Amino acid sequence: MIELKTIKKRFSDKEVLKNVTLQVQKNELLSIVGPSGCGKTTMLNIISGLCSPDEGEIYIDKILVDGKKGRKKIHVNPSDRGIGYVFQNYSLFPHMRVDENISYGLKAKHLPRHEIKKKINSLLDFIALRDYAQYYPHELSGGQQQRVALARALAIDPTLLLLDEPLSALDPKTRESLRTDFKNLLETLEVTSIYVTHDLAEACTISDRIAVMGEGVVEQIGNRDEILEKPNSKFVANFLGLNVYDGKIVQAASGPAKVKIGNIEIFTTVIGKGDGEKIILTIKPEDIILSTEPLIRNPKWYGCVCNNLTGKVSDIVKMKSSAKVLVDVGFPIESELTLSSLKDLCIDKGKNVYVQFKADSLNVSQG
Amino acid sequence: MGLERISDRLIIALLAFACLFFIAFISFPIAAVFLNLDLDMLILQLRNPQVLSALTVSIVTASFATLISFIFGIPTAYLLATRRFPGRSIVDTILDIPIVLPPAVAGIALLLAFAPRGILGPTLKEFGIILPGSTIAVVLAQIFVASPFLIRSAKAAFEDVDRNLVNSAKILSSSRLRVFLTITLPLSSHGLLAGTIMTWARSMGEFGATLMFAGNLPGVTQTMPLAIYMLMAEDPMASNVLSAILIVVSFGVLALFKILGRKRYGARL
Ligand SMILES: Nc1ncnc2c1ncn2[C@@H]1O[C@H](COP(=O)(O)OP(=O)(O)OP(=O)(O)O)[C@@H](O)[C@H]1O
Ligand SMILES: [Mg+2]
Repeated sequence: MIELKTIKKRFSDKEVLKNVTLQVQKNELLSIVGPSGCGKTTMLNIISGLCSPDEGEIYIDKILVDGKKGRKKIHVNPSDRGIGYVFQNYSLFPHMRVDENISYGLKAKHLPRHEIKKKINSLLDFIALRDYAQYYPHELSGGQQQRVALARALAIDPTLLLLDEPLSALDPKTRESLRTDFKNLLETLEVTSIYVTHDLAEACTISDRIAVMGEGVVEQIGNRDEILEKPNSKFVANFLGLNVYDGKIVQAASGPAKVKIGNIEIFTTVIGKGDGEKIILTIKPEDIILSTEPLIRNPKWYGCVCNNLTGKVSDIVKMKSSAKVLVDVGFPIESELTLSSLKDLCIDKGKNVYVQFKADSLNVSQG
Repeated sequence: MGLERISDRLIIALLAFACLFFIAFISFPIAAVFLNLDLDMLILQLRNPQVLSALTVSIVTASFATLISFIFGIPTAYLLATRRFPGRSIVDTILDIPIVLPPAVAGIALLLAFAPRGILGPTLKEFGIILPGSTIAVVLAQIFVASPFLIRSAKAAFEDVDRNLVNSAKILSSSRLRVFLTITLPLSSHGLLAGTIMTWARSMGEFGATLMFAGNLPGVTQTMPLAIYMLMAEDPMASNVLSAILIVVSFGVLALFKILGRKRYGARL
């Protein structure tokens, strides 16, 4: 188990970690996502002891490794924290063979030679690179190097495993297959892990619990569904790629609630909030349907309170299997639809469309 | 279009001419040293005691100077490359001074500091040490002039070592010495070796500071460059042979330097 309490860190005049508090349970795998430069690597460096926090405390398995005990400042050495750390860019020792890389930490513990040998072999089996013991890192593919880096970190039987965007340097296909590999490998281990990535999809595949980091703070922590369905801040909603609006309650009681975004009134299912109160509304792009007719045609939506706005298409961005259409309905709203729906719709930039969404697909939180 | 082509060619021709000028200007005098030489003469001169003693003094003093520069230079370079401390850039600048200082000035400075009439002279004399006229003075002059090359090069080599590799090792191993010996040192070895060779070569060629501080005593302080200068009038052949030897040594060093410049890890058998 690991616990960070009000960790602060600044580099010269930049506050990189503002106030990070975080708990990871024993044998749990927590993903941390956040945009580039928000302090993810710095946080791992602090947990590992490579870098000292300016303020705050860190406990690993209830033992204080950074912080103050009375007047005394505590800083346990990186090698004494029982940590395995897989760096952002493999960081294999280029002048050592695979087996030497893996055994680097074991040799420091002065284990008998045959035990080291046994350990190397079992780790090589674990990462399915049995035949590569004598290879140098530059003779391996990126994916193989990353697996060796994992084996090297695991060799010392860490109680805490830190993984810093371990797959980010790989091509998308390798990344995807290695992602499942990693997930399966990590699941078989009894080790507390923190997996850092800037890719939300990766975080969702790898782990159940996810922490979303903004500039130097943990914005939200929870399981996948909580975060995807109930983002607690504008920052998280934006990070998830949702439509985010500031709104005001026009009518809270009696029937469907009415809110205002700018000058446009829409229905939502907000309850128990007073008239005139400021709120934040979010809605997923894939919950928004575009139509060239005013009628709501989705049979599942019959009997539901729906919003039906009109607007002008301002941009269309096509992706591999879907497209994002930006429509101006008085405020900009983004809809995500499949490429075939886009084709059926026959819409272009500048055309008018109907924008339809259910009242209850809007998520409302305190402003 | 046509005009552009012609001007393009003209530019290339001019660039090539400039380059050829330097190649000729450098290689012609070097070739002249060898053109003046024949094998019999070489063998004859290699028995000339003054040539032999200059060669010996040079090799011994340059090697000692390099060794001492290495022993003090590597930790200095490591400190500068890995630690931030107040006054770091001042230290850095001080260590660079000998590179820009004219050797004659270096000679005077050493005299004023360590000669019997210099500031530390009387103190040294009490211990029975008189530097000018001694082989130690040659070594000191060489260290003064050549060690910055080693420090420069070693510092760059240490800075080049990927921080993440060192950090990876620090997490796996509690011994800083082990991390240094197994990660930092091997990964910077090319740069360290290149710097060492440069320092040795620079020590071999040292002239001005040695002449002024150590003097010109055959067999004691007369290194090859000094002998070349002194023998120029009385024994031009000896001077010529010594020059040829120094050129060969310099070329060897340059070649080694270029080879080491292309660093590569782990060639598997
Ligand atoms: N040693 C350092 N000295 C000064 N500033 C630093 C140092 N290390 C990191 N920073 C700054 O701290 C901020 C956070 O860096 P960090 O590497 O933790 O980001 P990150 O979230 O890991 O980003 P990425 O996803 O790009 O890896 C950056 O603005 C960076 O410039
Ligand atoms: Mg990072």
